[in-house]
Amino acid sequence: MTEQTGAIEAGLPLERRKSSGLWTDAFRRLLRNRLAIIGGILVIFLFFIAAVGPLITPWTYYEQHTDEVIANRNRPLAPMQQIEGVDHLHYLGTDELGRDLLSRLMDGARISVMVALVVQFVVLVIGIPVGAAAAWFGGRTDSILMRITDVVYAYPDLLFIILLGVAFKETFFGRAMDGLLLVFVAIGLTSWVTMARLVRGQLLSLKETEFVEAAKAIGVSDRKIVTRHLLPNATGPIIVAVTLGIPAAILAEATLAFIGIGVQAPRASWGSLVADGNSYVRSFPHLVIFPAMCIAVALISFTFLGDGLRDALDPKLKGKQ
Amino acid sequence: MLTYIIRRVLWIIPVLFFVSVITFALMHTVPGGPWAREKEIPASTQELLNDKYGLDEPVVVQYLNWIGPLHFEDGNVECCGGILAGDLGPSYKYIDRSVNEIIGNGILVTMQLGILAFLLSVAVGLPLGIIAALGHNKAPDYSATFISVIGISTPTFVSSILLIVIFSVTLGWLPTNSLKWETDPTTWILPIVALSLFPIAQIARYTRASMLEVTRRDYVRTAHSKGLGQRTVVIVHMIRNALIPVVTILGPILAFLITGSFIIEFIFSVPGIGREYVTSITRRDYGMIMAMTMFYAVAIVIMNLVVDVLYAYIDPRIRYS
Repeated sequence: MTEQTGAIEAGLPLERRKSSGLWTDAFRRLLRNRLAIIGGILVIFLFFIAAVGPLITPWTYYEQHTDEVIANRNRPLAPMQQIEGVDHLHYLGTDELGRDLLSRLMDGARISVMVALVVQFVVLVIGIPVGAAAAWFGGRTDSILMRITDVVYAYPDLLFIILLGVAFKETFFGRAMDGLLLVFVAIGLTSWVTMARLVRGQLLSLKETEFVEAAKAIGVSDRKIVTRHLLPNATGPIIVAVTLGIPAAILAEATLAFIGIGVQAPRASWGSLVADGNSYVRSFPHLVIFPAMCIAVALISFTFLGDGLRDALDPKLKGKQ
Repeated sequence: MLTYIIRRVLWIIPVLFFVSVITFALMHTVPGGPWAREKEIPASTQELLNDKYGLDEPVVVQYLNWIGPLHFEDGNVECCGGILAGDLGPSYKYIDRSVNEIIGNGILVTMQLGILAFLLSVAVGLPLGIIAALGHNKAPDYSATFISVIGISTPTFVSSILLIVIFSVTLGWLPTNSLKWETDPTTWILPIVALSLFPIAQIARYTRASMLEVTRRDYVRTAHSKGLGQRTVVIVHMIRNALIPVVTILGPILAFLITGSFIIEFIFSVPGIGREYVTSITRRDYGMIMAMTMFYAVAIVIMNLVVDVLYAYIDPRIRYS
């Protein structure tokens, strides 16, 4: 304040105080959180592998090196195992059909990233309008929409996904993207409820603020108030919910793949790789351990990043630490 | 408070009604029926079977028959059948056994598994979170956080396989499956532990966060400054208040333990109902699908209700309108 008055008195151009907006502050707090940084780097790495995987992978996920498995007395190749007379190495070994495990894991990363994106897309597309409409219109609309979310909430998630998966397995929709699209959409259809409730809660409290009243007073339309004033102010919690919803979706997909629902052979997600490897777990634990580690690391990374984002965006903590 | 409880209880009825309608509709849009077997059943026999089980009636009539108590068949009305008369209908997989019979025992086992896992989760998760918060940013905090991160990021099916490999295959201490659930309690240990890991981690995380939140409160500072011992402050002032938000996740956790145990039942061959669920869906065993979906939905709805009521009871500041 004094600096500014000083500047005015001296006839200098008024220099604006360096604004420290919500996002800059939050970003700075995020950078200080070591776990969140580690999580963030791993998440970026996962997205990178998913994007360029097919370009850098030595083999495709379905290519079989049958002769090497036969040379190995019909057993899966162990990690780094060199077969005589073969000039390449399978860094993480192969499965019983001679398919390179590393290549399959890289394709699995693609599937996990797709789960993350498609499910959260469905969640946002359904959750935000439902939550916003419930909060803004209130009354009858609110109670009807919230009762619908109650029903979805009471419906056992995985069971609904399995039911859909089995119901549409043979249709075009069920075969799209190697059977993955169906599972993604089904997971999305069961997960939007949390988002709808979150958006509704956020908007309800924002609705009473002065800036909304001001906007109403100058005659801004309902739609513009919601999209320009309310939703941008609820972005923080929405981002956190999306980040924390991703590991839940990856976990759901892996679990379904493990019991044989969703991804169709020869394609394999990390969950189905664990299921396949399970039959060899005594003699070839690497077939279970590597995909299991991939799942665990992906879940940890998103959780750390989500936790970090929540701490960074939570205004209650502002000023502390 | 009482009107709130009554309203919530009454609201369960429409929720369950919609859940049943959705399930029934989904089941019947699926091409193929319960008579699809590896060995084709002749068309005339299928017709007779359809007639016997009332599957030749329109879907709406079939639904009404399932609900009961009136039973419509070939233009006649009889009494009494359907779920309102306590009859869940026949199973189409095990001809001549009723659904009541099949899931009667299974439900007990599933609930036993779920409740024991719940007790273990609370007994381990709460102290873990409290210890972590009291030793904030010290060794106990880091080790407790490490344990809960592992718990959250390891899918149930992965931890189950690892537990089997370690304790059954390598060490040989515990049986690999739980087929002898009723007679041999040692078969309980691995499924219960595997099922509890995730909830333990979640409870620990929530408890830790909630305890840390409470530490900063004025009344805790007051308690300290009036000379109360650390023990009293922690037990009387902190834990009691910190547990309020934790209670809200216990409902979803108990619901998760009961509905989510099917993957555990699948891996360990626990004779609960979860094991039957996936097969009953792929077999189009209508009666079983309906019964189990409803059981899970009832479990979830009741769990949520209990938590909301408990929440109001523990924290008198919460008032329901």
